[in-house]
Amino acid sequence: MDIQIVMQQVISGLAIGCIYGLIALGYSLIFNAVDVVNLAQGSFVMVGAFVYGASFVRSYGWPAFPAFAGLIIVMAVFGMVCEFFFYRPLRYAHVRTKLVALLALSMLLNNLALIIWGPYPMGLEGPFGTKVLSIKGATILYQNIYIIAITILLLILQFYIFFHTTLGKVLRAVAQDKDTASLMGIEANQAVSFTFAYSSILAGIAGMLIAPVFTIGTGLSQLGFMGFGACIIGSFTNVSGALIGGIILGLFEMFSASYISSLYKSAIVYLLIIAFLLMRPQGLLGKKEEVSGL
Amino acid sequence: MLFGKRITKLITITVLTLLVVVSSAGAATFKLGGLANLKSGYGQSMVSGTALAIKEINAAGGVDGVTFSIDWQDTESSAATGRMAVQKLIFDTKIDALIGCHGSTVVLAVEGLIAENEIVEMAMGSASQVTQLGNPWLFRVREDDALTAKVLANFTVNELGLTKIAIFHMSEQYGVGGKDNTVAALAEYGVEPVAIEAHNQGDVDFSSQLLNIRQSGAEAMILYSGIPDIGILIKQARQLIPGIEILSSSVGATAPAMDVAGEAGNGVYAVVSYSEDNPDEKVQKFVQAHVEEFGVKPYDFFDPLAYDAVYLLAEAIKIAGSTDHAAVRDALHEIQGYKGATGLEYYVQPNGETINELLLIQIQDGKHQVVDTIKG
Amino acid sequence: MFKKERNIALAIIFLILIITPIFDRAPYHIFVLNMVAINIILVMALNFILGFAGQVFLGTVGFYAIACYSTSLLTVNYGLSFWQAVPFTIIVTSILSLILGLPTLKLKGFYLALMSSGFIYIVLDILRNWKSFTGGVWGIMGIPRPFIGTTLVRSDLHFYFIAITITLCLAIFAVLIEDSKFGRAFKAVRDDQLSSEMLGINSHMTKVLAFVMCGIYTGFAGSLFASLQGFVSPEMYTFELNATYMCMLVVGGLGSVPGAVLGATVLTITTELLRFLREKYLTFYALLIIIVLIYMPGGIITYVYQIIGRLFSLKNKPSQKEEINVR
Repeated sequence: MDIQIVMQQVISGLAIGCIYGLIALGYSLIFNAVDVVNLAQGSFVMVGAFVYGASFVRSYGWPAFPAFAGLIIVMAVFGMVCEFFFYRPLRYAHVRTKLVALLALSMLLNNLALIIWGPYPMGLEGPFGTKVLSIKGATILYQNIYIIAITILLLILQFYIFFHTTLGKVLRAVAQDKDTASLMGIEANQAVSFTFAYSSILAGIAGMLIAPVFTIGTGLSQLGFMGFGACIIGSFTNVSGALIGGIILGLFEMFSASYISSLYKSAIVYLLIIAFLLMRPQGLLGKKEEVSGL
Repeated sequence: MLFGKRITKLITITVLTLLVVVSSAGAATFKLGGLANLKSGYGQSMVSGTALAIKEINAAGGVDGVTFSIDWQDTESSAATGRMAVQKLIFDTKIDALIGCHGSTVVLAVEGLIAENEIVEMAMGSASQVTQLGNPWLFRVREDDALTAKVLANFTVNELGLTKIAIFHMSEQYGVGGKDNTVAALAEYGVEPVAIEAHNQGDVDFSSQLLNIRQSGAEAMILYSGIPDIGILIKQARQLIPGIEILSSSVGATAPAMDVAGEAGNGVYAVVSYSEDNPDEKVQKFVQAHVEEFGVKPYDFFDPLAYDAVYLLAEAIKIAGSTDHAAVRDALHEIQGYKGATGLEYYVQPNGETINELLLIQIQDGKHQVVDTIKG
Repeated sequence: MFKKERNIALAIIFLILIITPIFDRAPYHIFVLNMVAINIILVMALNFILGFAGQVFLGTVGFYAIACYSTSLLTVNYGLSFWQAVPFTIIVTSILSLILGLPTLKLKGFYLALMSSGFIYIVLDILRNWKSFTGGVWGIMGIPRPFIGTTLVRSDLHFYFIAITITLCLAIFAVLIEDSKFGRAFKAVRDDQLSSEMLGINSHMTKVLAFVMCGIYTGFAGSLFASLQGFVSPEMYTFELNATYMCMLVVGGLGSVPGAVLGATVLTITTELLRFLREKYLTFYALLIIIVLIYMPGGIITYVYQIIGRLFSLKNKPSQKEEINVR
């Protein structure tokens, strides 16, 4: 086989894998704080892309930096609003009730986006346009390199916040035992609210970054499943698991589609995720006893 | 700000509709049923196209005093829901004619119902099967996939002189039908595609398929895909397969597709039934009326096609001199050479086909440049 | 807990469903009634897993698609009659649910949610792309209607009587299961897996049983749907369809058979009434799920129980207990 093509496959797989990893970052955060997977995370990414791309940049014509600042504020408020209206009333409910509610939230957001922004998908010009970096015939979009850099940056930031700040300690305390945490004077509600805000900001940044590569449209919310899969392959509890899981998923998708069948691409990818769920549900980087659920 | 414009628009439309309903009470009304996936851009284009046509016709006092009204139903792009919706239209709304659906699956699923209840259907599904059914009540205001395929194959092989051709299609009816037709059309020139790749609707990453095409050594690539997939696909194709000629069915030349593709769209050829950059007077008049009414240009070809479908029915009522379903159906067949807002002339064939000419265009900076007009 | 209320509620709903065609025979309305019957079966199927066993399984539409396709393939390609195809369809779906149930029930909570949605995508990929077997994107046409004796059931009205009879039998069966020791085992596992295991309940087998019941019920629903429509194609089965069934169950009442029946009936009809909302009705559904989960976790059936309790002056007062269990 052609070495150039293989190199291109590796690079493209890495690029898409990092996008999955970026989306996965938001999942692990909420999971660590409240022990629930935010099934609406993909829709949060979509909302981020719409708010930044469709409203701020395209409709209002804001330049990149104010639009970015606006996005952070909007997404933080959005995350808190979602937590306040859809999560908080159910915080003592069973996990399965929360999951159904979050699923409904994702459905609500997708349909609202259609009503607010219309059914026509939109393109977005990234800071680097469609310029590509070419290494011996294999090409990668500058936008993808930008995504990889920011993902790693966010990963370090998340690691730092979680293990080296008081805030991180609070979050971890709440995750372990809400009641004890509140006895020790930690405002559990505020901590959870903050977690939602932060993970919604992460989703917003993901939306902003991937919109130029793909499109601004409701289809983006489907990427949420891939982010979820990345967490399962990596680990929900290990911060760097998201990125590693994402890259494995991206490379696997690329090579299985190239050498097995591109028709059954999504089926094969789901089979991999299911295989991981059955054989190693804690993920590659997780510890065995961490698996908990219903 | 996010809601303001839309809500105002919604209120205006509601008030206008109410006014129309009130003012037209008493006069004879020709009730249309609309059938589309209203969550898609295609569906919304059909809604605005028909709304414009109906408003114009009614403002002029109707056709021989007959005014139009329309009731839209959502198919959710599922044949089962579509069938339910058609039953509602036929038995509850008691429609006289049906506009849509844009999906061939739905058209095929409901054709029995419309024949049984004697409703004229102006279908917009492009699958070749639609007009092969022999259903006398079924008309198609859209190009046949086979015609698109023929034009694309002829242009690639004879004009561009390329024979290493790959086909990339979406794995639903539009894409698979387009692929089958193109394979057949290419076979007439003795050309076999070097690669056939597919993707699922809603996919965002096409790099593995594109790399397979690159490995096959294809010089040209024919696309049958959907919105927004095709825009992303063209972008990724330009990055991964430098120098390949990209040709597309009409979807690739719609405004949202070009918007998503951006610069990457430059140089893409497409076969279309309508181009807003067509200098034709009728087309420009339509675009201008659309901007005045809705504030935006039509997004895709379904807008003028749906507009024309209403006018074709109006024309038929005029010829028939009545709104009797069978009379309107027979009168439709007498329409030959009606010039529509698409810029095409409609010749109604005995099998219900109305379009027999297409434009071949090339995209340049988000605009269409008409390369050729091809008669089938 | 509310056995009397439950039985009365079921009797009333089915009575209304059965006598409606006497007053209203508009073809469209009869067709909607047929869909009501089929949706009731599907929502009862979902109720076994989500309501009784408490597992967040999102793959019902996958089973449903397989059921529709197996009836279609058996009748169209292998020349079986409708009544011959039904048992085979049920065997296919229940075996599949067994295969799927055995390993996946070790998974908990959101893992099962992801895995089951993956299952839908896998099924759809196969239906779309395995052209020689499933007919690919064009689906399968010409699925026959059932025979009764030697007469073909052509009219939707007569089909409705078959569908509603099957639905009624399945509802009675579901109630019997709920009252049996299996039903109690389901709920014990749902409410507290650990203590139920200490009581000697095999929680794993209980969940698998819930899965198989779900498979059997979707088998019936799929057979009826394929025969009613006369055609199947892959684009009919979407993730959103799954969400609507979940909405029906949650709104009706999770873990309650009349709740499932009521939810399916009310929301199928409401969807038709709300067609003027057109593409926006799913927004309404999503909001409805969340509101019901927060403000009336037992679903509308709890209010129906209260009314029935008062009308028939039954003794046991509705307590909060049921609601807490559901949550």
